[in-house]
Amino acid sequence: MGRLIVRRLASAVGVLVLSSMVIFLVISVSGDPLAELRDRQPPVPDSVIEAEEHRLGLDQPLVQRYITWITGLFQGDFGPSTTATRDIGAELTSRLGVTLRLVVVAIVLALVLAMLAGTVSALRQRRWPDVVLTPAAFVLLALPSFWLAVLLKQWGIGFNNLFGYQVFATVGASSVPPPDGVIAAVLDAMAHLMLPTIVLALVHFATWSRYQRTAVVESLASDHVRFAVLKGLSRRRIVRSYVVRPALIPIITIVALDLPVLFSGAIITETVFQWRGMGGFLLESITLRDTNAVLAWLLVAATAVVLFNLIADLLYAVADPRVRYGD
Amino acid sequence: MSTRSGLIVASLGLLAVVGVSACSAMADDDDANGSTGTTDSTGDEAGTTNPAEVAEVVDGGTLTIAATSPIVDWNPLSAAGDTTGQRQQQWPLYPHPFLTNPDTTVVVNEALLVSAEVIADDPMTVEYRIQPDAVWSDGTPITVDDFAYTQAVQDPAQCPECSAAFTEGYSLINTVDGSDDGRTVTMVFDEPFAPWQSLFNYILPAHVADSYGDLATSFNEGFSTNVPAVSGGPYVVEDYTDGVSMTMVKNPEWYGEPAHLDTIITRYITGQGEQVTALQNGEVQLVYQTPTLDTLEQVRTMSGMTVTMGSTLTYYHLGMKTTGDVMSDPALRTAIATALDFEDMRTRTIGQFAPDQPLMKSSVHIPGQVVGDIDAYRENTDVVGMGIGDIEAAISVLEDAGYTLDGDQLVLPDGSPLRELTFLTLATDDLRMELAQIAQQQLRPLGITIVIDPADGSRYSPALRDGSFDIMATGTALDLGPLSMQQWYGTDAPRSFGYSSAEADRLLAEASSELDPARQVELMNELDLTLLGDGVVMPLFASPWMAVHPDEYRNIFVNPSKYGTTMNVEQWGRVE
Repeated sequence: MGRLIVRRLASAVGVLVLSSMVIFLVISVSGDPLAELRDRQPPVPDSVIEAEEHRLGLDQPLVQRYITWITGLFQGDFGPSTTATRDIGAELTSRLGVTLRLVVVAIVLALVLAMLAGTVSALRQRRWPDVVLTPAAFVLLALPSFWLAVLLKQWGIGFNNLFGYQVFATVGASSVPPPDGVIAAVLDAMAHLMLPTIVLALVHFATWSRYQRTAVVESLASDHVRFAVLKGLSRRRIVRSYVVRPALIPIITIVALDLPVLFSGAIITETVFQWRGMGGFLLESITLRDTNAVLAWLLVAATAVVLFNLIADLLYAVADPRVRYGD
Repeated sequence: MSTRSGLIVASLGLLAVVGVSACSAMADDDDANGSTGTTDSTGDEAGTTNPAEVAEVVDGGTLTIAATSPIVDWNPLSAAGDTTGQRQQQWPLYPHPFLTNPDTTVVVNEALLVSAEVIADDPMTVEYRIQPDAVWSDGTPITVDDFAYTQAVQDPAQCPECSAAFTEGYSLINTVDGSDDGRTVTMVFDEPFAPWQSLFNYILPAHVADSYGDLATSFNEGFSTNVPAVSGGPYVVEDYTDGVSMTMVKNPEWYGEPAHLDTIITRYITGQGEQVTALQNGEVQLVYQTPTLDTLEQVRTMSGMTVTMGSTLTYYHLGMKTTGDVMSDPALRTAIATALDFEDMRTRTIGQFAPDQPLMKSSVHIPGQVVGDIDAYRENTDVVGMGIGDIEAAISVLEDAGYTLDGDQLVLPDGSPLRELTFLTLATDDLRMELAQIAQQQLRPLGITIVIDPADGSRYSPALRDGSFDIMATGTALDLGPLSMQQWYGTDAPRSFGYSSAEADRLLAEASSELDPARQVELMNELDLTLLGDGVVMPLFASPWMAVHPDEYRNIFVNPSKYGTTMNVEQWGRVE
């Protein structure tokens, strides 16, 4: 197990270094960070443009810029922003916190519901739980998440207008000014969390429950389950130990692939509900032509991909003894 | 492991692709705002707000205004701080010598100044007389020191390190002297500067600057990074949460007509559609944005909302390159200008949601624009026969110049077929894309094939400056009068794409130094005829703007200047 972890970590570091080079190269040649400044009406003085080029290191060769950037990274410095007052590292940390607030509840909710629904559907194939859950999942899969978010938002506004009370909030993580008192603050946080959480949970529930159902169906048809039945083991034990546990591998894979995307920013949900999270950070950085900020976001996203895949590798070994023995 | 590694690489590749494609989809900023227009109410009650009249309102209340971007630089005069959104948000915090009315007239801000006038022509001398009770929110009088500091930081000769957004005019000021305890400010210019009223649009507090350090340090760091604790306007910042909101309360030392609303909150909502739904849900009370067919239809379905539409000093226009292998021929440019149908373009674009927005028949003034007390607008495109959609007249111009039409192909006088013409437009701007498509259709009968070049934000501006087009669609802000035109059409101007005309240069130079409004209007219209005659600019329509708020709020107007709707923020209020 130890060797497995070391091997996976070494591989992850290699991928990160390689990805940092690719990301830096691609972003550096993809546009002029000072294009907006150069395009001002009336024109900004040349001396200001030159000073900005120097501050951002644009007057340096590409290789030198990469070395400066990667050296800064090891010291916790993501490089200068096109907005002189912006601290990329501090803002990234704050944004990550907002995104975590948004996605953690949704992920837990979606995962629990998906595993339950997928397992029940598979165990009760073509009977009423499956007949209800399968079409429901397909409907949710067919709905574009943007459309679902906008639809829920409109329903929330309609609900508020109908009852003349703002139960659902549609902008940001909290009201301005924040309400006084603990209970009021909790209710306010819930009012802001409800709609985006439902959107995120529904979207991921639909995908994950289908994976879980398929995995359990395949597991049910496998030889070791048939052998367990013939051996006379109880149904509960067969389902728990011989069906569901091996069926966890696909769901671990898909969740490990989805989580980095979520933690990098549930861009659509954040945009529709105006949460100032990682997704918004990326979009705003692009609007501001903030190359170093986009690089920082991509690096965080790449790290998340590597990290969650590493966790997935380790969970495979936990869930399936064959992975450990194979090692 | 190979499968996992493959998945990782695929994920990283996807991230990179997302980043790159998103990086290239960047919008430009035309520095627009709005002007004279129409008001209606979506509810049962008729709209009572008239952009020309100030309604009686009661004191008290809060208004939350939606803004697309937070403050990234607290210095409204710095290169990073001088953007449309930030100018509007910071307007209530500073003193301003002049105000722009909804009808485009520019008037002295009588809260701050007793008078501001040119008292001598040679050398040009301007005198500002400050109101005796004008003070900053900490009680410090507003004096010549504040004018002198604001001038110095925008004059590269005095502060070469200052990252000022705009230095034109300030560098021409030779001396800034004070008298009457600093309440009278006298400035002597090296050369006449016609748009002198556009100077000192934000006056920075010199005593606060002193606490930050020298000129460059105070300007580039002190004012840029610190939330202003001192205000010279009707409101002062009480709280700012980065990227979330800014809360302003009344300035207790405000020296003008008392403000009505107790609190004004700016809530940062990046999407225009999200701003409208926030208005619908009562989370904001004012949205101020460029209308689209979708947003306008959406707000009109909301009951009890006042919708005010207005036009701006920024206008959409087409332009033709006047150099190169084929576009250097005046006959070809004249034919294109004659064949294009601007009214058809207007009807099929902004006419869909702003049918009252008129066609703009001048490239130097918007319809109804007032300069001094003079109606400056002339329908000059009619004089030169531009944009009338007359295909026969256009063909006649071409034939007179030796061109022939061979089937659906225009043939040059030398017998070779006319190559495809490139129409440069901004891919992320639907309206400019539509203009390109309409032009493509309208020029087809002339045997001209238009190839649309939909550039993203990062390529569009460099391509404009390089002249990598035959025809283009863009926008120009007219806030600075002659200077606005000079930056495009002066020889070797910053945004020039190769156009050069001795006559245009002469008129630009004269207009820039002409202090008599009547004479300046004449010079600008002469310039307009020269530019239109060369086909280098083809004006279409002013950019529309809209303000939407619940009926209970009044005196919220669409302002034509680039400073936005908060220009009269102290008049905003609620009716009982």
